[in-house]
Amino acid sequence: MFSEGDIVAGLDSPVARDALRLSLETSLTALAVMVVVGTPIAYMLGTRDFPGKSVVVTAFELPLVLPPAVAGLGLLFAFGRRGLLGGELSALGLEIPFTRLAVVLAMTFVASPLYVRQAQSAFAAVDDDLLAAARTLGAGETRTFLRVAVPVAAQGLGAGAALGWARALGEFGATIIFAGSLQGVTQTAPIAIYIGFDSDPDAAFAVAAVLIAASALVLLSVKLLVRGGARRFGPV
Amino acid sequence: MTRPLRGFTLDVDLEAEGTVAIVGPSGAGKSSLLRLIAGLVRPSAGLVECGGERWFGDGADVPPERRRVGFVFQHYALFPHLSARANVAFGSEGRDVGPLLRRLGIDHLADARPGTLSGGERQRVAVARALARRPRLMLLDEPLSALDPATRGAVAAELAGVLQETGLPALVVTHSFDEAASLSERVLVMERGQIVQDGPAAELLSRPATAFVAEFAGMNRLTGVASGTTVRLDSGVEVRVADPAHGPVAVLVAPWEVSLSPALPEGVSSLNHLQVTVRRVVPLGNRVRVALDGLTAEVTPESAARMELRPGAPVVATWKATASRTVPRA
Repeated sequence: MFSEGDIVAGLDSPVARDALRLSLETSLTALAVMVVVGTPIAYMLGTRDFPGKSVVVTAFELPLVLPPAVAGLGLLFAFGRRGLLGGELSALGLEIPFTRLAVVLAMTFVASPLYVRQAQSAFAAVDDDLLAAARTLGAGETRTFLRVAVPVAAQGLGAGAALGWARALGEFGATIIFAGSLQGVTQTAPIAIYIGFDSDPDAAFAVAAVLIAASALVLLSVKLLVRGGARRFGPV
Repeated sequence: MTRPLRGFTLDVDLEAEGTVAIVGPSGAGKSSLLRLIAGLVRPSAGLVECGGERWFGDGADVPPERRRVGFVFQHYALFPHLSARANVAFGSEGRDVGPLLRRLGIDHLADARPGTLSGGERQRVAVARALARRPRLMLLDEPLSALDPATRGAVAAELAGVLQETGLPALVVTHSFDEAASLSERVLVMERGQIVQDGPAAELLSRPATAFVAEFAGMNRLTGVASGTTVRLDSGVEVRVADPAHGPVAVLVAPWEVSLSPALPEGVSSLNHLQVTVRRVVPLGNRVRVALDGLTAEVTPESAARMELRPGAPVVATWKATASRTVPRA
């Protein structure tokens, strides 16, 4: 039905190129946000007990089970012009819906629970005595986190990041409601496939082929990371 | 200081100089004591001071990273992602760790990851790492328990030497009497969060304060009910003791105070005696350890040979009332 040539030709279309570039940039931005913000949160959740912890954990897991379209509506209610924070944001001259920032927000909202969950269990698996040892050796909380907890949990964090990134790359429902479908601005690869399916099947299939390759790559790297993690340190 | 633990409260008042061995049944609060001093666990009340510096109490609560303790964890807790050298250098604040690696004989392992080291090598890396911190106090939590029994004795002697060389106060938690005795002059026994005995190892043998101490030191422990200087053992036999007591007690007798004879000797009135069967005969250097029913005796090889001791042989075990001690039993 579609040959290699069609895929290459499809990739030549501006719609396909814009969509793939946008998806790459926004999903990597979302990944950076979830890693930078999510890692310390996952560390707290994975290594500490505090009152109300299960409530916090549940709140973080909610986007995992929420239908993406509902997540998109929720983001509109929160950040839309007439939303909860709309007034404050307009006062600052910030319009979030239907912008590139909206794409990143939607991706982060939907994908970060995957990363945080994986990172949390990676941190929980770190031997408490390693963290205690770092403290008695003069490292404060931050140095213990950066020099011991993160490197020891690195494989789990890497696997979580790969899964989170893949989820962000595939984000569709929340994005189309909260960010719309504006070529080059908010039309990500999955949205371009949906739109192009009618208007430009070559482009749609070309983008799909790239996403398949990316997903396979992610899956492979997660498997290698998980296996490597078991092998790396050996018995301790 | 005080801290509530599961089932009981840790309540300890202790001053340490030089190496002090801490022993006690598992769950006695030995590790908790070390963690309280290191600041890894917070006491509910009390005082922790080191060299005149207040670490905890009266509003002070110095975080563990500023307490300058050298902590050796039970399973060493070496950082698996760092080489031996980087492990040792972790708390050295930039000082050269080369001399320390050489002193502990691990300089040839400097680039190895902990996962590739043997138990004894890991222990030395852990001790070097703790010392590299320039601690004012060493805390060692069962530093020998992860080693196989064959190497334990040599490593214990080596560790005692290293600790002595540093001149630092050190608290060493251990679970064997031999280890405690080889590591330190002073042995402290903890039970259910309390210090029940504190003295030289020899004193644990000669005057055990509790049944645990006696058993820990290898003493015989016979349970029964006391009425004055007579104790009716659980087996129904009555024995005489030197310390009068009432109620449930344990009678403690050192194995070398127990004499064995083929039959009831003449003039036994002053002696306690039990008719028992030999279970096992184990030569131990210049002594022979004889396991009997619920009792252990130590005799010379000559008398073991003369009596032809062998498993299944009936013997009479005797000891003087003055050689036994009586302790109340919970």
